[in-house]
Amino acid sequence: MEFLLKAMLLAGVSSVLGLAIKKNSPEIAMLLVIAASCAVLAAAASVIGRLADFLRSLSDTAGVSAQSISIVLKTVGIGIAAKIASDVCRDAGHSAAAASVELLGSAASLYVALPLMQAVLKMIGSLI
Amino acid sequence: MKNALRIILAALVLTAFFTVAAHAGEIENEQLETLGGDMISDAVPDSAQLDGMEITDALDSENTFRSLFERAKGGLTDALLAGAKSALAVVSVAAICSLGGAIFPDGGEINYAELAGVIAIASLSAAGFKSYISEAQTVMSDMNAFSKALLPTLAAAASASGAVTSSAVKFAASALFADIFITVTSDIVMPLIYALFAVSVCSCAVGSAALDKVAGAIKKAIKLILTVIALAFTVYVSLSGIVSETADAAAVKVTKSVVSSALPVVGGMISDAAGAVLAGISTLKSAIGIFGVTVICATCITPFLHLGAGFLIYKAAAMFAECVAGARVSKMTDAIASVYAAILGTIGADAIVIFFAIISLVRTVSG
Repeated sequence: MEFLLKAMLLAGVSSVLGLAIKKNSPEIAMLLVIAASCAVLAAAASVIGRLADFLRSLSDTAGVSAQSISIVLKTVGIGIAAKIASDVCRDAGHSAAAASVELLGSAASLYVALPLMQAVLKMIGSLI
Repeated sequence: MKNALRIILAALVLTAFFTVAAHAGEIENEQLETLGGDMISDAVPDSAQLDGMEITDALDSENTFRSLFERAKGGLTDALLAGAKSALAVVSVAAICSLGGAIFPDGGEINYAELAGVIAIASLSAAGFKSYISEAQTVMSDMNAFSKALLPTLAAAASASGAVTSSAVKFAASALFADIFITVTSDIVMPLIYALFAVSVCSCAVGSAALDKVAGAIKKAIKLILTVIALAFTVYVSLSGIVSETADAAAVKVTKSVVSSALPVVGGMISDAAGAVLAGISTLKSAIGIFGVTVICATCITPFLHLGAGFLIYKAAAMFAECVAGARVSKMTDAIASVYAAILGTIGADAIVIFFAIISLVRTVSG
């Protein structure tokens, strides 16, 4: 709970400082916000890592194949990374770069989910 | 005087040596054997064997219900365990997708986490779906094979109890509708169930409203086909039974009155004795009918429990997924529950057709 409050405080303070610095030095403000985002993401990663371990043990109990769960986890991770990267580009005022990152994220998500989709299509083909 | 005493003594000695005991119980077994009771016992599916229960034991309702209850209790634990495992798998995937949902709010960019979740749930449910379909096909095949042995014997018993015309009419209707049901189930309903699963997966993965409508139409078609067959059979047997039962009742009454009036002294006794024999065969007919219903229940009970537990658990998992993951993950889970319900409905409709055939033959009224 304490470290969650610290992370939220860090994000808030860096945003306010970023606003203050932006008039004189927008690139430093950008770097400050990116650094704060990375710090908060690192904190989130430790929590998500524990959550992922719990979900893996849950899926082991359910007898689910680890491959299916890891594919879904990777897709979620790619989506999160692509979303944050594209929002950083948008904050910097570069929508074109943001759109490219989003496209890359979508393509990477679909690529990672490909084995699962192939398995489902094969299953549907065998039914029909 | 001495001669008369000798004659009386000789008569007493001969009476003691030449009288034969009356065994009323053997008549019932002989009647059952004549009607083909052995064929029925041999045709009982392996999955429905009830601790060596015989046809004549079927009238003991307490033991019958106890056997069915024990079987249901045993099947329930397995069904709940299997359902709980599937639900855990869905819950795991939904929980992972909820992380993506925090980043991709509804109406925003395409949520690939949800897409992966939908496909993962479809892939995880595929093995369960195939095993339930195979179980349903086996159960329906067992029920139909058993009914092919049971119904002719039951019709013969009904005919022997005086319902000659109505038993023939009802048996013919049962055989016709059983064949129609088998053909329609294997050629239309099962392929529709496969199509429902495939269309549901594609609709939830792509998020297409058109495919949603197709899936809805398939569900309605399955429901309509099963309802129409069961209803048509019920109406046909009921209506044809009304006419033929009246004719049978009249024939039995006329025969009894003709016999009792045609033979001067013993006519009434013969008529009453014939009535007692008919009543005995009616009891046997009821025993065969109850045995048949019990075996059908025992055959259906395990798949009913598996599919019922799967349906309820997936519905609960869909509600959970709606709270934490996106709408598509919840819809996919709900679609799988609907597919299980369709399979359950198909087995149920087959069982209902056979139940009604048995009950209509048992309840043939002969006067």
